[in-house]
Amino acid sequence: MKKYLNVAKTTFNDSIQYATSIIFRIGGFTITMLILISLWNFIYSGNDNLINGYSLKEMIWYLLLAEIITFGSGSKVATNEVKNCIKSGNIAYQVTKPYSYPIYVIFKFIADTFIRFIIFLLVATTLGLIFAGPLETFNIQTLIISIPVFFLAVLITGMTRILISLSSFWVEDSTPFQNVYSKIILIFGVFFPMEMFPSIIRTIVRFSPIYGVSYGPAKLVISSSFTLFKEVILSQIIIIIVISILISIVYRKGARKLNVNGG
Amino acid sequence: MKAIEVKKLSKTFKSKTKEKGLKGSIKAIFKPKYQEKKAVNKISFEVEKGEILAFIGPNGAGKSTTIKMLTGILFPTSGEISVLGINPHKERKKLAYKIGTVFGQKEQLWIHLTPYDNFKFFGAIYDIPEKIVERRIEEYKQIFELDEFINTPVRGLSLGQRMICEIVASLIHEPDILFLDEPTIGLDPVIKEKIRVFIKRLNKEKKTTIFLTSHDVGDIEKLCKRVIIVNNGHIVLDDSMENLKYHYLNKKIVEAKMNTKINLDDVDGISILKDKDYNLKLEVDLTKKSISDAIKLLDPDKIIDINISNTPLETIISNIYKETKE
Repeated sequence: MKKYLNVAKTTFNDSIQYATSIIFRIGGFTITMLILISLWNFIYSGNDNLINGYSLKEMIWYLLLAEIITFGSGSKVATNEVKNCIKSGNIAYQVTKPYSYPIYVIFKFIADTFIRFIIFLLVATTLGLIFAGPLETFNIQTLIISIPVFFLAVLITGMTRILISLSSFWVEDSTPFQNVYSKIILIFGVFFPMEMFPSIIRTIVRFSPIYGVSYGPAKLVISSSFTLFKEVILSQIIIIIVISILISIVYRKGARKLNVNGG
Repeated sequence: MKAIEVKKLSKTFKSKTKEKGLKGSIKAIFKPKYQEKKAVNKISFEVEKGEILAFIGPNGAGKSTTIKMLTGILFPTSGEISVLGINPHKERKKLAYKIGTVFGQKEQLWIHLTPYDNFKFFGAIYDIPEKIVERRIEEYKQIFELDEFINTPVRGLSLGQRMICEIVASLIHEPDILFLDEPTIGLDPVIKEKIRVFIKRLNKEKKTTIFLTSHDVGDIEKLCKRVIIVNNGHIVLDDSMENLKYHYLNKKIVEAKMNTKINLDDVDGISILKDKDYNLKLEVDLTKKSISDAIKLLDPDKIIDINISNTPLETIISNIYKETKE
């Protein structure tokens, strides 16, 4: 465990070197959010009623909170870095080190995400307070129960990305799969809460990682429900166990068929 | 005691093939074809503890594949491997503490961090107490004169400086065996020499076993006492450096551009390989004649340009092949 904490510490040290690039990403995030907030304002205009149980304020907060996880966990460690490591053959070095490569990448991902996530959280909160106003239901209990849920949501995102990147052992380029995953999360988890979809899609979302990585955490902050907290955290733990098993199987199989360039 | 034992080791790669042109590309998507290549074919050898072994051969001979099977990166198709009594594929992590690897064409350093931060990181990965890591960094700092760049981010280092740091990073846990895969590739002669001197010192002082693959005859000549030559996945020669030098590395190639056409005939110890217009290519047998004899023969006043080189490894291997067939 100590060595993995060292991996995280070194990654954190490394990520500070290019922290300025995150500032530029904030611009992109803010513009996207402003466009989506305007869209929801337009949809709700002249309509004081709720849409599928959500007021305009709740909808904007849902959007911002779900988007923090997506943007905040957009570290290249779990995507391009793993893919390039396998394709370039640099994984040869990783395999000869006394650690588990998947766990090494997970710790690297968490450390690389830390600063990015905090920055996006601050920006999103500011946008929420300006364009929607404070959530009346939000209190200290919500804050406490949200921390582990958001942490696990980021962890699941990273692990899913790593699992997809490990397909590089077999396919030429795992980027298209990453893109498909991003679009599914955006449409079914970020842009619209699952209550907006027909019951069949709702059921699929409920039992998919989308519930743990976007709907669950965002809805938890809006509703401040302890019952929902228990449901979300349980589903996140189950998802983590399943993805861990899959990563372990895929990595083991991939490593067996590894064909490093030049031998 | 044996550091490495290899018995009938083989590795077969399966690679996709494609017919030429657009039609071939489309066909390959729907009906992919594969071909098998035996990169390593039933090789057996042993390496003693404390030995420096050169494992050489032309491109595609199976050198890197072998090194990667010995370090647990690649799984063998068949055969047995024991490195320090450990099976690399069953106890990869256990072996990792005992071996160091340097791949000349791959990178393990964190490029945004300084060499010092990198060494500290690798020390922690191998569970080495901080005090010992500091002591070792200090030691390597003296040997390699790292002072100048130890606090410069790796991305700002030259290729030679990077390679030195790669080697130090691989030695921070003081491995029993160091696997070096083309460690001097692309480096200038000064850095090459520095690395060679260090490898020799490491072997002498710490009794580290060195397993070296290289294309550079200089690396092999200066470092190794024993050489294994591989070609097409087979061991072509397993002999002492002394024997190899006596039989195959005793020749130099002299290429000269002359300002006038001169007519030469073979003399004992100097044979003409090429004589075209003003260009001459001679092979000098150093057991019979010296390089200065060859230059005198050419007439130094008529030489415009001259290049003296070792016999290419490929030529040495083909000579060995011819002899083993005869």
